[in-house]
Amino acid sequence: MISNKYLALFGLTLAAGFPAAQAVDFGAFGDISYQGSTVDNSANHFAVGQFDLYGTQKIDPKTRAFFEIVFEDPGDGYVLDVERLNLTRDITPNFSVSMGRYHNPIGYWNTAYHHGAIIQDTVLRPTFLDFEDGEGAILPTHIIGVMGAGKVSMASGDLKYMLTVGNGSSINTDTTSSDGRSEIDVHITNDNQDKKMVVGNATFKMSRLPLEFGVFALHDPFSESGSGGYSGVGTSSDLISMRVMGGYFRYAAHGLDVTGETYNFENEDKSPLTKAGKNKASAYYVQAGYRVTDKFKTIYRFENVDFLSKDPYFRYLGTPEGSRHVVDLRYDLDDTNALKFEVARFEPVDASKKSYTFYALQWAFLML
Amino acid sequence: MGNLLCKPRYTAVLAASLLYFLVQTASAGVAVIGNPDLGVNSITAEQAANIFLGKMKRLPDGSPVTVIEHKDGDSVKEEFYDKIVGKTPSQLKAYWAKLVFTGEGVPPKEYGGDKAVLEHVSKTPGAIGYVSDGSVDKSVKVLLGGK
Repeated sequence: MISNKYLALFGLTLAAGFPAAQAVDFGAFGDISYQGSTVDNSANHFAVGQFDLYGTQKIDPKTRAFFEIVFEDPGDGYVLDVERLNLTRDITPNFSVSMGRYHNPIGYWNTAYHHGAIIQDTVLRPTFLDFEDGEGAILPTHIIGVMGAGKVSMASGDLKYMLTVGNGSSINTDTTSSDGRSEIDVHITNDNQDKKMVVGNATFKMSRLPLEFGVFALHDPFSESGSGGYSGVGTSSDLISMRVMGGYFRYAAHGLDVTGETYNFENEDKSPLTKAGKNKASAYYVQAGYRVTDKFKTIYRFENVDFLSKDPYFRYLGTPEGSRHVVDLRYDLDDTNALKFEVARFEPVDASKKSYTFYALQWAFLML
Repeated sequence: MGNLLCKPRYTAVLAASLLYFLVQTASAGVAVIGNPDLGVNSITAEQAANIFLGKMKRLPDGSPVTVIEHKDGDSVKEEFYDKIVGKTPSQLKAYWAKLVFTGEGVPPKEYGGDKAVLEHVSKTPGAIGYVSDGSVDKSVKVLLGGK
């Protein structure tokens, strides 16, 4: 949380910096929506979405810097988040090394789409790919560490790969105890323990077909950042050892695009209280979009999250298990702004919980 | 019509319009140029568009390409992107902004006007650029358009 004083100071600093920093490419994304749902006692409302400011500059012939900050109100006042801040050095024309904070290179969506709402076709991300503070979040969507990335060009296509090592995540299970759900903490400036998160991703984009597919793997040694009274492990001790392996594909041609991703979890419980052992879980989505005209596009997506009720990881996070159908109509007013209308229906696995429908009209834009 | 042309005022307007049209047409040419050592002698408009949008990293003969870009605001740049690529300046900015933001690409380095582009294309192996027709000289190879 930041005060208005710091926001004003930040604004003045940026304003002062613009004339002198001509070589920095700045841009901003934003969105405003009208939304509602059939959840009991919820009122339809207007909502100012994330305001996202980014900048990049080649600071020497082989090094570039990138930052992205987001102003948003999660419901209790505006906060400023440094979403990405990294430096990248080209070692060869096809290999680079970088350090900083990134979007975790897991799967397709989290690599291709970021906070700028106009870039993704739908209003919402797949639920299970929510950012760490989102209600459906089950993955560390950001990582702070070091990354090696490269590309191998072949006659049959391009192979891109990324390998990242970063701070391990943690969960404060005291929050689960009091509020029913906790958030994933990816540790920006410190870490609870010496064990690190490791993520690898490889994508092959075919040259003869409009098709790309990839595989990825993640290991995250979650630790306890609370008192440990709820989980039974001490502060900073091992809580969950999470391994995720998955694959994805994307086909795009003649106005049609189809994207699919699957995530297969193995969560090893470290709690002496629950002793749940190793638990498997899965999450996936398939999305198809068709561009009817240059400006008008229709999109449908099916998402599903499936886990064992004894798996403490999802209980700590309060994850809703079930499936969701998402339908979007998108109208691009220009390359810089688009209208999106979305209806999403969530069907829980637990029969005691109610299904609900979410709907939203979003106007998303890009400022240059 | 004949009566109208006989009136000096209408004749002057017509002549001025014709002169304006001729001047516009004469200055409307853009030539895509390459380093004289390139292995290709011509490219299509579609290939030129893909090269300048970062979608095509190699020339048709398989050799790597280096794009030499004009600075923003140059009339020849607006003309090139309008006629060859089919994008307005704001659409071009939006295109690169999305690529930069998603880490998928970086816009080509901007060197300045025709003179600077000619100089860098002629001296940089694998380089490709564009200049107005009238600026083309023997230090470069014309790949598309030109007089």
